[in-house]
Amino acid sequence: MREFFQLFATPGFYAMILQLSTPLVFAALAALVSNKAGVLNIGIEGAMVSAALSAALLSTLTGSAALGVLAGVLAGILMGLFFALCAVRLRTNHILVGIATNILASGVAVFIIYAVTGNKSDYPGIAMTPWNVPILKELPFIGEILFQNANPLIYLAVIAVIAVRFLFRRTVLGVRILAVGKNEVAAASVGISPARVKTIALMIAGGLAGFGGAYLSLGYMSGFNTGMVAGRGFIGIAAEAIGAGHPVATALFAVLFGAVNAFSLAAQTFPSFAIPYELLNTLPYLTTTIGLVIYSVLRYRKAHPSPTHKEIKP
Amino acid sequence: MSTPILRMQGICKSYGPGIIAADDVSFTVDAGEIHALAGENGAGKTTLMKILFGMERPQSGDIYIRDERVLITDPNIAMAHGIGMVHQHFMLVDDLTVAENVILGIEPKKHGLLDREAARALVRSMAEQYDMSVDPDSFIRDLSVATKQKVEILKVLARRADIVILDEPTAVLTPQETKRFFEQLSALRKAGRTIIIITHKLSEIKTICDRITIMRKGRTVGTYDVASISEQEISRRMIGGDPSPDLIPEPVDPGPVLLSVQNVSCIAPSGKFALRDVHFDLRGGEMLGIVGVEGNGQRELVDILTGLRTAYDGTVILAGTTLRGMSIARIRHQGLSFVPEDRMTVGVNLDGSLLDNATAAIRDDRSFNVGPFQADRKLAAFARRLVSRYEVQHDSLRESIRHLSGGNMQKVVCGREIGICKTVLVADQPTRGVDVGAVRTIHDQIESLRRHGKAILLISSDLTEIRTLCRQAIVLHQGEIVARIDDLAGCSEEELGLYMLGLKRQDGRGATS
Repeated sequence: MREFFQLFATPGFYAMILQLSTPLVFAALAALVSNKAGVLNIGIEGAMVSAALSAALLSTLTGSAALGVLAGVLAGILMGLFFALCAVRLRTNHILVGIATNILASGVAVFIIYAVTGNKSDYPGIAMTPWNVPILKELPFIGEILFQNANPLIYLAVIAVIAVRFLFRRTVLGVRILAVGKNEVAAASVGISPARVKTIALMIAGGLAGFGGAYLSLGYMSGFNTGMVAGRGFIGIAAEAIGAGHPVATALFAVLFGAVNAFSLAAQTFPSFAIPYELLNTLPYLTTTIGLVIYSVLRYRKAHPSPTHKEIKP
Repeated sequence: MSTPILRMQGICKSYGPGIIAADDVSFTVDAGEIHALAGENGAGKTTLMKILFGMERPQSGDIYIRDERVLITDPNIAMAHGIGMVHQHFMLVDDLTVAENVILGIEPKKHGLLDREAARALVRSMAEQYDMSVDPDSFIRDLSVATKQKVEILKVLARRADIVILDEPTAVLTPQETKRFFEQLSALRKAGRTIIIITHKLSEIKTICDRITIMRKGRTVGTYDVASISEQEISRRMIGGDPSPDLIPEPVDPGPVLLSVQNVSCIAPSGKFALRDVHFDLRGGEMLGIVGVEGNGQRELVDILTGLRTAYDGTVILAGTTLRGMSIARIRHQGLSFVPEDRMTVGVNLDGSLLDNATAAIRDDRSFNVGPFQADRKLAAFARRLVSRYEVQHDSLRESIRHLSGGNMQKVVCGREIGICKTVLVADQPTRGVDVGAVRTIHDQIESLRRHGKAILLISSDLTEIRTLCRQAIVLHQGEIVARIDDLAGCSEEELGLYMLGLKRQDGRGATS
C-alpha cells in the first residue's frame, strides 16, 4: 500500500501521465473532427501507424526530428485523404474503409522496415529534444511535471484542443463541418459541397492523428516498432464518444485513459503487487470498455427516462 | 405588374419509360405576383419547381428569367439567378442556431473568421423588415414548425432571392398560423418579391394568390386570374372532371372497448413531458382522430401503442390485455395493426418485391404455412387479392416495391395492415403525399374496416382528412389532451386551431403559451 501513496506523491508519475496522454489526446481530437463531419473514422489507428513510421524514417534520413514530425503529419493527412477518397468520393462503407486502412498501414509498415533494415519489427528514429523551460522548471513539483524534459508535442496537444474548439466556434469551415455532419441534405441545399467539407475534415483529423503517431516514435520512444500504436487510435475514439463531442471534455477523458495507462505501467514495478503484469497491461483497455458502457447506459437513460419511477401496479 | 419575370417552356421530364412527370409544360410568372401552382398529388407541380431550382434536369425545355435564357443545372445556379425554394421538408440543421442556419453557405466574415454579430444583425433586420420575429440565437430543435418555416423563408431572403418558391407551405400550420403566414407573404409581395406557392388548397388560392396555373397528370391545364375563376371550376380542372361524391361515414353501434389508454405519460429526452396523463377509450366501430401540430406527442403515443416504446407510465389495455411487457409480435397477434407515418423506411422493405411487402405480416400465420414451409401459392393469392382490391398499378408481383409510386406503395401498406386487422388499426398519416385516387381508396377501406366493428385511431396533420373520416377527435398540445370533441361537425376549424396552439382548452385553464 505504501507504494501507492509514494507513487501519487512522485512528480515523475504525473509527468508519465502527460506523456502517455499526449497521443491519446491527438487521437481523440482526430475522432472528434471526423465525427463532427458525420464520419465514424476508425482509420485513426492506421493513420497513427503510418505517421509513426514516416516520422522515424524521415528523422534518420535527414537527421532532423522536426522534419520527422512534419513527415508524420503529412503521412497522417495523406491517410485522411485516402480515407476520404474511399469513403466520401467512392462511397464505400466507413467501417470497411477504416478496417482496410488499418490493415494496410500495419502491413505496409512491416514491408517498409523489412525492406530498409532487414528486420521486421523496429526501426530507429531520432528523438526530439525535450524542452526545459527556464525559471518555470524551478517550481517545486509542478515544475518537474510540466517544465522539465517536456516534449514540445505535449504543449502542442494542449494548443490543439484549443484550436479545435476555436475551429468549431469561430470559423466558417467549422460551422460548415457541423452542418454537413448533422444534416448533409440541408447543407447541400444551400450550395455547400458535403464531399469537400468531409474531405477537409478527414484531412485535419489525419493531421492530428499524425502528430499523435509522430509523438510515439520521436517523443515517447526514439524509434518505430510495429506494435507501438497499440490501439491508441481506438482509445481516442472511445474518449471522444464519452466526451460527447466537446473538445475539452474529450481531452480530459483522453488524459484519464492516459492516467490508467501510466498506473498500469508503474504498478508493475511494485514488489508487493502480486498482479501479473499481463493483467495490468489490460487495464487501459478495460477502463475504456467500462467507460464506454457507463457512458452508453447514461445516454440511454437520458433518452428513455421513466417519468416518475412510481411502482408498477399489479 | 405584367412583365414576366420567369418563363418555362416546353419542359419535359420522365423518370423512365411510362413514368412521365412533366409533359411539354409551360409556365409563366409575372414580377411581383403571388402565383399558385395547383394540382393533385402527382400532377407534376413539385417536379416542375425542382427543375426550376436545379434539383432535377429536364429532358427538354427552356427556362427564361427576365427574358434571358438560363441553364440551371444545380441549386447554386438557381440561387445565383435569384431563385429560392422553401422545401416541404425543412432543410434546417437542428443543432445550429437560427442565425447559423440563415447564413450557412453565405457566411459573413471578419478578419477571415465567422462574424456571428453580423449574422445576428442580418437576421434581426430581416425579421423586422418582413415582420417575422424570431430569436437569432435559439436552436432550431427548440422551435415550433411555424417558426422553422419563418427561418426557411429568412434563409431564402438572405440569399436575395426575388423569386421565392414555397412547396405546400401551409400543410403543417394551424388555421391561425396560416392566416399570419399569409400576412407575411403579402408583406413580401409589397416588397417586390415574386412568390410561387405549390398547393392544392382551394381556399388559400382564393385568399392570397393573384393568378393560378393548374396542372394535371404532368400537363398544364391553363393559367387564370384567381378573381375570374370559381373554386368549383379550379377543382374541376385539377381533377379533370367532377369530384367523386363525398365519403359519408355511416354510424354503427359501438362495440366493446378495444383500446383503453389510461393516464399514460412519458418524458422526452429534453426532460419535458412528451405525453402527460393521456387517457381515452376506443370502442369497436369507432374512429378517433388525433389532432395536433406535429411534435405534440403523436409520435410517442403511436410508439407506445405499437410497442416501439416501452418506457412510459400508465396503462394501455388492448382487447382486454395489458400492453406492458408485450413484444411487438404479441401486440400484432392481439390484432393491432399499424400504418406507419414513414412508409419509405418503416412501412415497406424497399429491397423487397411487391409480393414480399404485401404478405410480410401473414408469413408466420399457420394458414399460410405448410408445416415448416411457406405456402407460396396462398401467399401469392393473398397478394393478388390485395392489389386488385386496392387497384395497385403494377407490372408483376415479383417487381421491386421501389418501382411503385408513393400512392401505390401506400396502398400496399394499408392493404396489408387493414387486411390483418382484428381489433385496432393505428393509422399514422395514412394518406400523406398520396395522389387523390389513392386517398379515396384508402379512406374507403379504412371506413369499411370501422363499419365491420374494428376500432381505428387516425393520426393526421390534415384537418380535412380527420373531419371527413372521424366524428370524434382529441386534440393534443404539448403532450396533453386539451380538448375532446364528440361531434367534429359542430366544431369549426378555427376552434380546432385554437386548441392545437394551446390558446384554448376545455378544462378552462385557458391560454398556456
